[in-house]
Amino acid sequence: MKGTWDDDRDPLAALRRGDPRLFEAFVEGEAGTFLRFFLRLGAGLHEAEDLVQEVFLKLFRSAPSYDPRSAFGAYALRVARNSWIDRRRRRGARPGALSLEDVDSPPDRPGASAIAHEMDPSLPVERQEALERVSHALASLSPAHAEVIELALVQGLPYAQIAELLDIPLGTVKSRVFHAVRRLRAALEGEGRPSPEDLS
Amino acid sequence: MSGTPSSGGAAGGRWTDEDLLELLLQGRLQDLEQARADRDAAPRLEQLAGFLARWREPLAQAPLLPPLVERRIARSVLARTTRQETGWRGDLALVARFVGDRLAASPVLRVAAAVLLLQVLALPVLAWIVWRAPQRDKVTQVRIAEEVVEPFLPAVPEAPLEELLVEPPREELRPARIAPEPGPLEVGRALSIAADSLRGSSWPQPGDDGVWQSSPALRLLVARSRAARSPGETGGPFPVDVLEPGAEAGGLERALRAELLLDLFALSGGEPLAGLGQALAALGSDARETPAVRHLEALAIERARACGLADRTAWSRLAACGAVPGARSADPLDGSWRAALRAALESVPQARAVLREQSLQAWLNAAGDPR
Repeated sequence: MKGTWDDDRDPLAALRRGDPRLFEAFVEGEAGTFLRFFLRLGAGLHEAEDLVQEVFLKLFRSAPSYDPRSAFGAYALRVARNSWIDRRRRRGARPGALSLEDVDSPPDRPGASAIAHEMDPSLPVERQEALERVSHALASLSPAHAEVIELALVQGLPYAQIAELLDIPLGTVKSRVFHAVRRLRAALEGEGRPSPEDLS
Repeated sequence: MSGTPSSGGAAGGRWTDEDLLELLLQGRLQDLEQARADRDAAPRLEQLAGFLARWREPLAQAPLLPPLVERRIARSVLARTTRQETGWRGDLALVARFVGDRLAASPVLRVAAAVLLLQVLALPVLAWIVWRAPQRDKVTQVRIAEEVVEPFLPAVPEAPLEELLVEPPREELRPARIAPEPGPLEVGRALSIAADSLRGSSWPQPGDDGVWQSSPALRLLVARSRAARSPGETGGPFPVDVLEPGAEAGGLERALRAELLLDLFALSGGEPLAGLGQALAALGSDARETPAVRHLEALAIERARACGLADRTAWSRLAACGAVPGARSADPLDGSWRAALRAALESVPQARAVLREQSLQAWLNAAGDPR
């Protein structure tokens, strides 16, 4: 998340108090965060847009029953992940029961790589190439690895929170993050591949 | 990634790669200091830290999003949550947003919508082209038709009517457009068919059957048949003296002569014709004629009236003859006229013998079927 939305900046707590401004700021500030979140997990662009709207609407509707003592960031990510799981379940996949194959094999996940060609002309070419390479590297990961990369590296969640979110033991989180990073590193910095510094 | 993960980790005195990664990701500063001090772990820690420093930010920014997509999503969410309108405008916006989202998501839908829109827009234009322009032409045709009152009367000129009345009677002849008059083609065809039925094709010569020579009525009938052979030429296929009124001519001859002149008038397309006015004026002038003859005269007056040549006085004579006023048939030799002719011939003792003439029977029969 771009900003901190816990404690006194909790959007749902503010909504319960009758103040919509924090929620509106949250929506305007984090729409791109959630959109990238779903794209990195393998959603198509329009599917990701639907999912982002679904997440925000779920959060808004959950305000009356929301417990302000919980961490809002983790709560929002849980809602987003559950939406993604529901969507995949409707498509026939079973994300809740990941097998070894799910962990090891790169599935057919167009998501991020599919829209990598839609470049922003205002960005330097080197930056665009680095982002494109990241997108392709993420697309080569299995769903389980992509998920822990998202939660651990991008969102920066503590391992304990990831374990709770994914409903897996802490040790498994530690191991899965390690293997995911190793594969990502191989995809990004394999032999002959330049680093972002080399590109710039 | 170098090193071998071990279950001992920092607690066992050796930092595994998993431990180092966890230290970096979780930001455990105290443990990090210890790992950096470890000669074995420090290089691996630096490698991992370098990797994360290089790629963590690109990871968070990837993938690049199409312009304005974030703002569009935020606006859509807010319109359905904190800024939602509950009135009809909100409903309309909801529908419009749904349609917009579906259109944005599907190129096929966009093409279908464009085709539909094109059809909706083009339909009124096509309808206008197909229906509007022909309707305007039809209106013009109706206006022209209003001016043509008598389709069978070919251009009866107003001015030549005065010339037509070379010897105008006391009564003033005025056009009276009541019933259609057959055109030259119809008159010519009817007369021509009748002419073919006559015995021989030439004018009766001296020495022919006495009936032909002695009956002015028969001569006029023959002349009517021959009139079709050369329309517009009064002296063509029959002697011109047939058209001149005889001193002792009765009502039968007057009626037949008027019919003959009307035939010629129609065949010439309405050209002025000397003697026509006089012949028409003479019709019905003798009250001593038999009713059958007077009826035949009345039919001639009625035909003249249909041609626009009848006058007010002749109309009163028509009523005096006991004839029922009405439009005469377009066929100049129609059944009612032939019946009237038979009756008139029957009523005149001098002409009665003519009815036994076979050629006359053939003429009457042929005239009854001009097709």
